[in-house]
Amino acid sequence: MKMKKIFFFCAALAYMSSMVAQTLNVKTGNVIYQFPASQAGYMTYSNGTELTIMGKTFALSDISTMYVDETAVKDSTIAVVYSGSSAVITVAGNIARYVTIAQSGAHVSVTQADDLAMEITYSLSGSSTDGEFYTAGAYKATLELNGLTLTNTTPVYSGAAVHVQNSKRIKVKLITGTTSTLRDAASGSQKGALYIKGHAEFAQKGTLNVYGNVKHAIKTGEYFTIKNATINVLSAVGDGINCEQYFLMQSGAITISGVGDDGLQCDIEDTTVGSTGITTDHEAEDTGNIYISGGTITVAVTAAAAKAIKAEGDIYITGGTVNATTSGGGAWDSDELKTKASAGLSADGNIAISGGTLTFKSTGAGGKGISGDGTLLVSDSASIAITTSGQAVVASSSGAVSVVSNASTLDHYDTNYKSSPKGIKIDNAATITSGKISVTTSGAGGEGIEAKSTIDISGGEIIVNSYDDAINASSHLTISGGMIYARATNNDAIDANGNCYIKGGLVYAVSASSPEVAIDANTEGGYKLYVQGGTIVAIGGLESGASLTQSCYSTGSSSSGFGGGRPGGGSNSTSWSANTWYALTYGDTTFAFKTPASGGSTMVVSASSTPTLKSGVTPSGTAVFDGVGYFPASVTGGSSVSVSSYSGGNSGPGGRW
Amino acid sequence: MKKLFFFLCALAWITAARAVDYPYMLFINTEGVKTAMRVEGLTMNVNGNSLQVTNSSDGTSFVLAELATMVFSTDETPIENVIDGESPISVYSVTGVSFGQFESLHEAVKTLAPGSYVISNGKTTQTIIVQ
Repeated sequence: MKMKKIFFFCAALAYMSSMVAQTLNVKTGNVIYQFPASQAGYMTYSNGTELTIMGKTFALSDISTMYVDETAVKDSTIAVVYSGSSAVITVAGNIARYVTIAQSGAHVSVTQADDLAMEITYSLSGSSTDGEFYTAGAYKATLELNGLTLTNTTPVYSGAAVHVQNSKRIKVKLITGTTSTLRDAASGSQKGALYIKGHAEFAQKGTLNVYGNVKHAIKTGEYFTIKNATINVLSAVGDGINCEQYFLMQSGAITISGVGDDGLQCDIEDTTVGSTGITTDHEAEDTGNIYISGGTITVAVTAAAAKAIKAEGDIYITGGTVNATTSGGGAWDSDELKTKASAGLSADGNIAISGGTLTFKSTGAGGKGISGDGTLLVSDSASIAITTSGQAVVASSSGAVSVVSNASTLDHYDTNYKSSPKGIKIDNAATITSGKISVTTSGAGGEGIEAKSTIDISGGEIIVNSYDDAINASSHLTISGGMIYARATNNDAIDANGNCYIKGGLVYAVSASSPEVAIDANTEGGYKLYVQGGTIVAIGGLESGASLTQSCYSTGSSSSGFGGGRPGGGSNSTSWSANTWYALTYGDTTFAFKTPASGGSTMVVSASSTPTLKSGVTPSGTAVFDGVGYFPASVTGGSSVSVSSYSGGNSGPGGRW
Repeated sequence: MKKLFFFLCALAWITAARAVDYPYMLFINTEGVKTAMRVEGLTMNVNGNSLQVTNSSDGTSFVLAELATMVFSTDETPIENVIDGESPISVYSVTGVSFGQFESLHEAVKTLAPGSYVISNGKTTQTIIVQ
């Protein structure tokens, strides 16, 4: 045992001895150039006025002192330690000849030579209430923020706190365990408190807090990626994060609040050429796309028509957590001559969500959850919850905006002069194959899910409680699978402005009272509702003239009120009981559902085989629709409800569109 | 286990032996005269026309206009014992390729490309690094 200890000691001592480094330090002002003895070689004096070491020529008159110590020098590194009104800069000898350092107090500038062909790491630490770091060059670099607190009060080289002028790949390492804080100057032309002209790759597990006093908090001229790091934007006059080419988040956390415009915005860089389209490994990609595959983004925006997350291209979410709130009202866009409103997620292109947990809340007038100019695809394990609680916003011909809470009044405005608080608004087709979507709207014009083209639902669970149409397609609407609960308090539940096809799935639709219907097609325009399959409960009935390939049954006429009675009061009687558990059984399968407090007068049911209906049951089983149903269900108790063959009902206006 | 400890210890000492330690800074003037100063506590300050050099035990100064080069050195014996103003030196690459003869080390350094070389005055051989 004693021998073992001696051996360990010898080994440790030998290793420690081997690690001693010798370094020649050449100090000029606050800059220390560090030349390792093993690299320095012959250091040449010229004419008694200059000294050249490793290609770096010093004027002897600039040298404060030179000394040898045992500092270990990390090649290709420049360290800047800020301290109040000054900063100490140390430069590794192997890059000394390639950089020009300028300094004014705590304002530091590093210019890279054009022939630099190695990556420099800039390690920034310390604190100053009036300082900055500026670097320019033509080669990629690494920026390490190591507990840096920097406010630029009186700019010298740039108004940003940190300005990287390199149009190359810049790794931004937030050193694990540290917190850095950046604030730009109160005025100037800077585009961000942290500005990177090239592409920024944020990494490591440190934290960065940013305050943008003139424009954005963080601005990158090219792509922005983040892995592990935590970024908090605490205020900005413009956007929280504004980038170009693309945005990619694999992990980490981003929190944005206190901004005057959008939370996160990604634009196409070369607007002359336009989008490159998605490329392999995003190589040379310029799409304005946003990619989120992990991590957590939490954004709160308050400005009128502000977007929490906005892409000039597409948005792809495959994982992670997104929490977005908007509270701003509408605004008139005098360029596009349109009324604009806030949204949690906004894309000029397509939106595809196949994973992740997304929560959107919009409280301002016209504020939406998801708004896309292209298509929407929801699939796989996507989980989306949307609540909009504002009223509609309208604009006059002069562009002045006001809030409208009356749906009829809203109908008088042209499309471009109004914006409604919809849960999901898609200007092209919407496709839902899997996942879970919950939408709640309560303001005038607040449709749950609207697509200006077709809607195709083949899977997933969709729960909509809306003021206006729960699900509305400007063209054809097809349900072939999935579970859909659609309840509209002031319009149709499921409404197609073209044909409506119910081919499969579980559909529980509740409309407002007549003339609204639970499931509607545009019969006035020559289109039709086709019931071809599925399990259907339609409180409010079906559009008249429907093609019922699968038999449908109703609980009674709109005026009879039999089969359960009515909740009391009012001019419309119902053939069903409010706030009551019903069980629809077909074959060995039972769907139990709770009726709402109010809705259309007729209850229509349909299933793959002749169903039976009971009311007043006590259900159990697999809860669906946030507790409004069980499927499959087991029930006890209850009373049989008689149903009769149903061939179609209301022929109302088909709701607003 | 004892064999493993012996091995580790030997490996550590070998590693330590390979690490280069430079006990001296050599100052070479334009005439080729070399002055060696130990590097412990070495400080150099420009003072007018001279370079003031001190270490933990000694001090000297050089006229800047007469200084040619300075270099870290591993040798305890100053290089002036190998090279003198009258003796030519031969320069070779580390693989033995001849680069010719030079009047002095200073003259050789002025013409050689950066790299490692072996120099000899016929009696003594040393390795130098030209930067």
